Amino acid sequence: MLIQSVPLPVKPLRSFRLGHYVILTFLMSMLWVMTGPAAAHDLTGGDANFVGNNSGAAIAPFIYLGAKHMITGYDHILYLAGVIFFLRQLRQVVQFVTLFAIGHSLTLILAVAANWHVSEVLIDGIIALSVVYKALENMGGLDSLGRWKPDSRIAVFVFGLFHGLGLATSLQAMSPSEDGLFINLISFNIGVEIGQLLALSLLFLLFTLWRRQANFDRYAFASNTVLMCAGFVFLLIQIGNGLIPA
Amino acid sequence: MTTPDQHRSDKTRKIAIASTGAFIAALLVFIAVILPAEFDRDPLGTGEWLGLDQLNSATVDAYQPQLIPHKSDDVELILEPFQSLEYKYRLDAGSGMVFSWESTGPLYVDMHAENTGTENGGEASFRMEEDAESGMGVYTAPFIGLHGWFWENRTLETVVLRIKSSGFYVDATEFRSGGSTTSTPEAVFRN
Repeated sequence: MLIQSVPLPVKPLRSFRLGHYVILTFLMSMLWVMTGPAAAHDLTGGDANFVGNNSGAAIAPFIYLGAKHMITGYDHILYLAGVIFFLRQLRQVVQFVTLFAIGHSLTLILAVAANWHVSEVLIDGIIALSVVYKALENMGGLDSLGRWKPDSRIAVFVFGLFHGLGLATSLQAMSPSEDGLFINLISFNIGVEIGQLLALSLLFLLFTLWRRQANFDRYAFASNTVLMCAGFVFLLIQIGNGLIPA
Repeated sequence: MTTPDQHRSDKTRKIAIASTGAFIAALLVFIAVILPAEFDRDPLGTGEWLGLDQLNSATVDAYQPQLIPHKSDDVELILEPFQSLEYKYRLDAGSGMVFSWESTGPLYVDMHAENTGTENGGEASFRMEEDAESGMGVYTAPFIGLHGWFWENRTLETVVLRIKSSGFYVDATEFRSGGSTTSTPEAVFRN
C-alpha cells in the first residue's frame, strides 16, 4: 500500500481546550501519586514484607498492589502503547485491550492459584520480545508475510497470556500466604485492571492529541523504532539476568 | 515512479535497517550503561567514564539500607534426646541479620537456606558441624527465601538451645516433625 497523505478524519487540533488540560493534569497527577512512592522504594521491600506477613483476605491492599505493579511495569505499559499506537477509535482500543486483559488474567490467576512457578527471566524475556514484535508489526514489518501474518488480535491475546505469567511471578516472589490466597489474587487482578485503565487512559489521550498533529505519520515509524529499541534493551537485561552471575 | 514490487522491497529494506539500528542501539546502551550500572561489569570503560561504577563500588556496598522493619528475636528451644528441629527466618534477597546461639550440650548443626523465589527452589549450605555448642555470625540473604538452621540432638541428654538475633527478616518459623509454627519477632521500634 502506498503511503500517501490521507485526509485526517478529524479536524486538526489547533488549540488545546481547557477540558484537555484538566483531564491531562488529573491523569498525570494520579500516575505521579502512584509511581512516586513506588519509584522511591524497591517494589519488593515493604510490599513483600506485607504480603509475606499477611494471612487472610486483604482486599484493598492487594487491589492497590495490583495497580502499582501494572503502572510501574514499564514492559507492560510499553506493550500497551504499541498496541494502541494506530488504533484511532475507542471501540478498537476496548477490543484489543480486553483481549489483552483476558489473556493476562487467565495466566495470572491460574499460575498463582496452581502454584505454578515459571522462570522469571524467561517470561520477562518473552515480554520484552512482545514489545519488539508489536513495534515491528506497527512498522509494517510483518506485512510481507501476507496471509501468514498472525492476526493482531490473536497476537495480543497470546502475548497477554505471557504478560500474565510475568505478573504472576512478581506476586509469587512476595510469598503470599495460602490463607485468603484466592480472594487476594482476585483483588490483585482487579488492581491490575485498574492500573491498566489509568495508564491506558493517559496513553490514549496522548496518542489522540498527537494523531491530530500533522507530523504524526512522519514520526510514527521513528517512534516505533524507538519502541523496538526499548524492547531490545529489556531483552538484553533479561539475558544479562539469566547469564551473568551476580 | 516506483513499481509496487520495488516499493515493497524499499519498504522492507527500510524496516530491516531500522530494526537492525534499533538492536545495535540497544546493544550499545546495554554494554555502555546498563552493564556497569546494574551488573558491575565495565567492558568498554564507559562505567568509569560516566561515574556509574560508583553504583557498585565497595564503599557503596558497606552500607545497605533496608526496607523491612528491624526486628529482634530471642528464643529458647528444647531438644530432647534424638530430637531435631529447623528454625528459619524469612528474608528478602539482600536483607541482613546478625545472630548468635548457644546450647547446653553438643548439637549437630547445618546452617542453610532455601530459595522460595524461583521454580526450582535451590538451596545453599553454609556450615555443617557434628558437635557444636555455639555459633554466631553476620548473614546477608543471597536470595529470597527461608534461611536458618537444622539442629539435631544426638546425645542422651536434653539440650536447651538459645538463639538471639537481630535483623531484617519478615518472620521466623520453627519446623518440627509434627509441624511448623511461624511467629513474628518483635520490631525494635514499635509504632
